[in-house]
Amino acid sequence: MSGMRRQTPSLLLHDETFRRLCRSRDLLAASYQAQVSLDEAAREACLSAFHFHRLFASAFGETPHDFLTRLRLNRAKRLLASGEMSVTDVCMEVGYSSLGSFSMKFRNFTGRPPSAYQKEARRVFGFSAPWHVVFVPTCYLANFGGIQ
Amino acid sequence: MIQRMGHVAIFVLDQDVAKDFYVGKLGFETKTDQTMPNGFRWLTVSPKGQTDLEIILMKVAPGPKLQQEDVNTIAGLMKKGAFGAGVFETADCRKTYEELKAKGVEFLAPPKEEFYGIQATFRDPFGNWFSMTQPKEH
Repeated sequence: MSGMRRQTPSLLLHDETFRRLCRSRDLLAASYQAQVSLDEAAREACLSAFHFHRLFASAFGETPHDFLTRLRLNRAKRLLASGEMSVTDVCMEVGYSSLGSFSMKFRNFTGRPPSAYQKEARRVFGFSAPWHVVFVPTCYLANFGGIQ
Repeated sequence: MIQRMGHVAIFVLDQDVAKDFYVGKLGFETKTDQTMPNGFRWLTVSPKGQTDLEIILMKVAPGPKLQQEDVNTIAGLMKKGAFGAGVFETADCRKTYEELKAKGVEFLAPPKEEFYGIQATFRDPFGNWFSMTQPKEH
């Protein structure tokens, strides 16, 4: 996966600080389509934007912006693989207003443009719908799930 | 060259009970909860501070690898406390101990100062036990 590189989180943060950062992260995750600003998320954590950015990365191994981008693009992958929505609709659904920007970020994230990803997913999974695409190691499916 | 661990599995006897414990009580987040058409359920959770490590809550059940007698043996060993599944980390062992106790988590040992930090021990509903450690800063 090209694009964002996750850092190894550093030492444990102060307990109360970590809790506040978790609340902010939950807020970002719940509102990613509504484009909650990072400033709002910082206020939720009772931190300045600078400290929020630094401590978020320290706690979770990625910046708030990278967290949001990853969330949106993983959601986009699932929607594209399900085959039920067009690339444009997926772009809007995950919170991007520009198809060009979405396509570029998606390509950086997965190595393929969204249309190519969707085509390959349809080839692999077929057109059965609704299909919730879950990436499960095949060894677990075979050894515990009885699925060959 | 192996660089990191992506998933780790913990055996459980009931995945609904497990989810209630690890998510509802310990505060982990659900990463994936999907039941396949044949009934096999893929359930993974992560601690909030380590979301790139997925803990598979794997139901012990008869299947390609396990016969019913194996399942019974594993369940017995779990209940006996034979499986120390790992070490969780916290920045405040005593505070987290009080919170989790209030939520009904069963502790095998209260917080105690060790040379490496402060440690408590708890078990999940099936007998898997964990160290919960506040590491000492060196």
